[in-house]
Amino acid sequence: MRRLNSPGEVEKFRREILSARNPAEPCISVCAGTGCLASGAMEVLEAFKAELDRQGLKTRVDVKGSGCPGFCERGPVVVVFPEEICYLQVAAGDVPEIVARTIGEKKVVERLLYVDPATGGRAVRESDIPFYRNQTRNLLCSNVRIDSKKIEDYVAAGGYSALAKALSGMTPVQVLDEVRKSNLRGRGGAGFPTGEKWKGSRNAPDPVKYVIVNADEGDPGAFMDRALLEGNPHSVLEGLIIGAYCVGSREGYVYVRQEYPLAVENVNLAIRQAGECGFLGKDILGSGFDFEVKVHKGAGAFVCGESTALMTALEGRPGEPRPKYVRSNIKGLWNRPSVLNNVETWANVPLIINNGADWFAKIGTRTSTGTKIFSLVGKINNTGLVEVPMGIRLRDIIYGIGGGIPGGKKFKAVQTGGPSGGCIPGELLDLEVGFDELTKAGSMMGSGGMIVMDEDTCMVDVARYFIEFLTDESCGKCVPCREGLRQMHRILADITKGRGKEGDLEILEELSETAVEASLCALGKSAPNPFLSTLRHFRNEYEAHIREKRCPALSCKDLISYWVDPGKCRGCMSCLRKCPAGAIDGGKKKIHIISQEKCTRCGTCMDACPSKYGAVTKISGRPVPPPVPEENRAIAGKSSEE
Amino acid sequence: MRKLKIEGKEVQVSDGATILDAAQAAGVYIPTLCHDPRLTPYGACRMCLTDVEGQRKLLPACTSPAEDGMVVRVNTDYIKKLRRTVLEFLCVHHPLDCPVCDSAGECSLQDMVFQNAVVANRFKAEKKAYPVDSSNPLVERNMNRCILCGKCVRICGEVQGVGAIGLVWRGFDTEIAPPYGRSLDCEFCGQCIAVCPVGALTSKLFKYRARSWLLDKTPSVCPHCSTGCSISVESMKGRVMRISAEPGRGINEGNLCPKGRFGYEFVHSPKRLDSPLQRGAKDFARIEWSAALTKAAERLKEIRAKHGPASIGAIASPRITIEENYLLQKLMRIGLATNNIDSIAAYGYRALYDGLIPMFGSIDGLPEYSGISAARTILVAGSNVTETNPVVGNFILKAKKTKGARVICVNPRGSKLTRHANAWIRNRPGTEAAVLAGISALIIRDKLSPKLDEARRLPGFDEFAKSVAAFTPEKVEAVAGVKPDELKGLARDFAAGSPALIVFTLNSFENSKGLQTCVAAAGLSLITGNSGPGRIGLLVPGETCNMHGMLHAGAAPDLLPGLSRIADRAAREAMAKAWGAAPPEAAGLGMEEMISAAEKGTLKALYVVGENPMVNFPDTARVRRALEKLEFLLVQDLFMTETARLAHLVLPAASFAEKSGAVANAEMRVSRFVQAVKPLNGAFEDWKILSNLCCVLGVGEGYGSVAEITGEIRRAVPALGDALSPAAEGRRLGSQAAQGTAPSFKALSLDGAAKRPDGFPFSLLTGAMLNHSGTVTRMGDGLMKVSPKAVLWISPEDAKALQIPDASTVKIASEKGQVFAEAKVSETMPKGAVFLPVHFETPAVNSLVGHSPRAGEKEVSAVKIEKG
Repeated sequence: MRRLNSPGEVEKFRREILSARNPAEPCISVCAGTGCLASGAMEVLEAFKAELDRQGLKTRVDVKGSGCPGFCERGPVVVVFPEEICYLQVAAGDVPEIVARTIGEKKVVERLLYVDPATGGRAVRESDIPFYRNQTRNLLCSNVRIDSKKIEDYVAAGGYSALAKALSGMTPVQVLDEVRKSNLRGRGGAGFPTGEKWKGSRNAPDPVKYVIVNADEGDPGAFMDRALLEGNPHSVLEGLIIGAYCVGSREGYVYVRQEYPLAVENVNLAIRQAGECGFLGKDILGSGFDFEVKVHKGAGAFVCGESTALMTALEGRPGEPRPKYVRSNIKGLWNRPSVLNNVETWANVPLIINNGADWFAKIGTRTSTGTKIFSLVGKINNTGLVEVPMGIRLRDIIYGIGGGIPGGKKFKAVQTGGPSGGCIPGELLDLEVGFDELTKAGSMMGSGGMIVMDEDTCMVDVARYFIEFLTDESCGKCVPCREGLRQMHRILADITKGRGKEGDLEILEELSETAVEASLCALGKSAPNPFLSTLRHFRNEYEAHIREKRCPALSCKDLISYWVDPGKCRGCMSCLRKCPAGAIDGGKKKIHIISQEKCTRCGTCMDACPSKYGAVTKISGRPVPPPVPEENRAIAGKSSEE
Repeated sequence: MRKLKIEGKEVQVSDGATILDAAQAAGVYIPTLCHDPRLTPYGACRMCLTDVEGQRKLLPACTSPAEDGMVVRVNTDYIKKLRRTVLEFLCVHHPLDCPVCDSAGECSLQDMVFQNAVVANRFKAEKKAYPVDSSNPLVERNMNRCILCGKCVRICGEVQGVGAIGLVWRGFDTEIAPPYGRSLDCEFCGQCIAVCPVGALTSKLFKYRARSWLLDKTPSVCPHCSTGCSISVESMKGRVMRISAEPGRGINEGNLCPKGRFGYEFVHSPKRLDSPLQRGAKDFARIEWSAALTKAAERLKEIRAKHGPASIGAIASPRITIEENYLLQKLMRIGLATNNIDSIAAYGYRALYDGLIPMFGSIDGLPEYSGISAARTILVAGSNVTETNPVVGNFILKAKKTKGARVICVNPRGSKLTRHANAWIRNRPGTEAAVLAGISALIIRDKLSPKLDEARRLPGFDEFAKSVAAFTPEKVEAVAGVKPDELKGLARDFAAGSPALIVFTLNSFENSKGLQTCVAAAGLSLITGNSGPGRIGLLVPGETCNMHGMLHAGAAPDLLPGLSRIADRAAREAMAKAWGAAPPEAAGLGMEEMISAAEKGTLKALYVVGENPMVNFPDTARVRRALEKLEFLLVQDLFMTETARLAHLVLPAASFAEKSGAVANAEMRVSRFVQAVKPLNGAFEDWKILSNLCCVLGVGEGYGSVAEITGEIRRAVPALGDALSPAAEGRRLGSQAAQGTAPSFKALSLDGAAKRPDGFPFSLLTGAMLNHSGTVTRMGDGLMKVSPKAVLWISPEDAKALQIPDASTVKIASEKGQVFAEAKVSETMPKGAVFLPVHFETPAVNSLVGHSPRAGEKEVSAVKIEKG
């Protein structure tokens, strides 16, 4: 790797890389993000290499493992350049055909293309797929073009030009002004204005300052930061280096959870390569600015995503938050001014420097600028990572990009903001996505988790689930969080088990108030949100559980019964054969009866019952009708098996 | 200053004060469970939430800075409701086993549940079921009662610098425990017990002994080392039940060390002497007190009549009070007409007086403990202060932590302090004086200190400069094994880091430092402008509680009360006026001279009060020869010590808890033992015994109380007496002889490396242990379980070379003798050196140690080590 000794050499280096490449030559990009790897992307990648080798195309065709493009639902994703043909759910067995047809004959393998479920039409290019078409992919767009293990790919895509620009033509104050003007707000959860945070640290008198990447992404179902750190680690590093230059820091840390081994590997590699190229270390790009980055692996505590807990953990002590009467940008890590920003926040910085604050501020709304990456999961057709401009309506994300709810079910709510976020009901689907708008609706932006729920989801159980998660993840330092959440969870669990009683909601509200008012850190203070927001929008469900012992979503096991409708049962024995508990009595052409004592409420019978009969139903809040007397159980007419 | 209003009360506090500090200043009570002024604010219990006007959120008083114009309310209904909920939470799993909990009555949770009338709990009880951990010697850990306030973890880490316990697991499962589920293995200072707001950590020595509200608390002072920690002797029905310390009283800020907290069991040891004993043909026999006193007086009179006053001597004690030492020297000087009185100070602390008085003009230049927190640099020379004077060690750790003081250790042995120090220079044993001289030489040569010109004007500077000039970096490397670069760095740091404090011990138990160490340290302090009026200079904590007091009382062959020289005619006349008889003119025999005289047979009688020379003095065989040759050995002690066993007559004395009187700590500050319990039946306070002996020997008519003795001292030596009056509590002793002379230098007399006899390749260092104080703490089970014996500390390299496995028996031999001990292989030891603590009869460490031919000097003993 060559060392670049001036900002001007970055552009020269980029041109050299590009000139060594033939843009007309095919390049096969296989997503090597964690999601696609889990679906077999590594085998696909190996198969491509082997096949190209076999066909003697090794030198003519470039194959790379790329960062995550986001369409995890349909992984492994393969894109063939320069045509940008996008193949989905590719298996190793498909590889010879792709090589033969697409590389050899320049033809498209139709069966691997995206099929629009509504029209049946096929989309050849990535940008034709509605999932991608409706996004604004400023941060994620490079992922698919870059081999995250090669700094040349990042430089070729324009990487480190923002750093060169900052170091050659901008003073730290100008960098700060640009970031402040962009109105970039922290992507980690609280949405604190990034420029203000930097300003505080920059102006703090202490000569030793730190910049830190918070990559302790711990929200269930969220993986935005992982995708960036795995897929485009240099973009995060570049932002960090610019930030360090701005505030006057010479030492930075990447705090990344160790459950992200690939992210750890890639960011470490990126730091090494950046050091070799002169983007890190002494006298960066000949500017006289020194900066080092170290990677710290988190040991798996959700609370370490909280700024002070993260810094305590970085110091080598148990990851517990500490009181914040002085902000950590003034007194943070080892009591020094420390700028802690989320992965995505840092990744936005090079874009702002390159394109200008005005360009950035034009995206989104007045108070929430730029784009935001969400991980769209749950009961949604297109699970994956989506990057959208702030201010987009929830409906556009869920239906326009996510493709709506599978199985023709009804949308019920979307949970945003991670476990301590809140649930937003269908009535608010036209809500514009922004920091303040989501907070007003009783939820929050958080780091960008978005869990879609359909009509089968019990909101009481959702609250119970998230409170349980937070109870487990409470560090245990302050009493209201450690003990109060536990009590909340016990009461919520009781309600879902049919043991709810009058007064429970009032106690839960009081416990929530105690946690919000008295907890030490944001984890405890926001922990009651799942309960409070579901209570606000779905109070009737709570009341049904408590008063009628009924789960309106027919989801809480202790409150439902499975029942075979004697009028619909054809005595086919499908359910009887599959029941793992042996709870179904019946015979050929004999009405089946579920023994409520033996039934474990697994739902197998309901899945097994042929849809044309639809005889198995769930009952909640009322008694199961008495079984049909033995003498009346014979079914007249043809059995289904005949 | 910040001005704010709390619950309607105006209050002013300094910058940096918290709302809680302000509330305390305003006399407004805010409940806390996790707060302690010694610890970093934690903000975990949330009991101290306050409502500050204009603030969106409630603010925890313990962590929120007080700001100008704040209007704070602490007892709104809303806050009270939150507090009650927090208490309900804590009671969900707290066992509520108050009837069998030692902390009942002094439990913060109990008090707050009571204050807030938390009568019912809306939540289902969920008790924890941790096994109660009694596996260590002193601390019972019942984690079922723990409310996770974290105070124990913080005091152990932040104040003690140990970190023996931590928070394990997370959330509701959080547990406070030693690492990896092991048993507690620590210093056993018991600070964790003291800060525990509930009964999760309790003292095993106190378990089921007494209900806390039935205890009588007597404010007193710790009888062990010279730190002078204020304690409360907590007693019931005439028995001392435990020792505690209150954060607001005394110099120790509520801190205590293992000796202070747990070293009280000896008071009620079954081995205490409860009758005078007379040596018979075979064994000792109990005799009546009146007979014993008559016998003692008769024997002393007989010997004086037969051999003259010079044939009688006394050994005083730095563990008895100033008044008692005063009586002892008066008894000797007037009753027996001899100045033959000396003490263990001759083997240690006296060097401080002999070194400092000529240089500083008086002993008064010793700094107060506040010097530690004022220092930017603290150089600790060859001393394990965190073990010998643990609470002084705490101050040093605190200065580093809170004031950013730079702590530099020069020490061959590793210790807690070297672990925490900013720099650790590992010199060869016994070469601290050479290192200090080397630093001085560099500072003078390279003009490193801005104060050098000022120092040059002082008398004797040139002689001092000349005497240290030989200690070039190369010479120091040859003598002490300190690299020239290290020495240069040390010199630079010390010269630039004013105010700088030098801390070292001059303990009689230690064989590595003496007069020249003291001269070298004082010289270094003077050339850098750190010593002199109002400056911080040298801090030399002593090994026992009344070292300064004993010497000030005149318990020395050449000193009268108030530190006047015996040769000073005016002083003698002043005493004669007060006493009605003049003390002899010629200086008496010093400790070494008395032992030599006894060995030769010219000293015939010796009166030993509260001292155990058979263990504590060097060259045990010689001490034994000397004592065995005496015609009359009178020993006054609490126990049948190794020395008492050689006595002709033994008088049982009372302990610190059973008597009153003044002692002076390492900063010469006076505090008092206050009688908490009556003396053991059959034993008497030392002052009463001495008073009676005075009567029998015709010195005055006896004293009815300690106050009468104090009164006499005030009349005879006002400077000393005034400091002793109970009204002057906490005053420092001043010397009667303070000349107010300007400081001057004294030349160092040091020739470098000692000659080592052939065949003894190891340097033997001797010293005290953290958990023992002289020989008295051996009489308590608790500390004996922690440190039951003396082991030989040896480096892993040496142990490997000698094929000595850990815990195996080794033979240690010097030219003087040999002993056997268990080996402890430890990284704290440097190659070529071993360490053996004193305190125990076996191994008789002092039987390996020779006495130095030069007064005040020490030599590290040369020994050989073999497999036992």
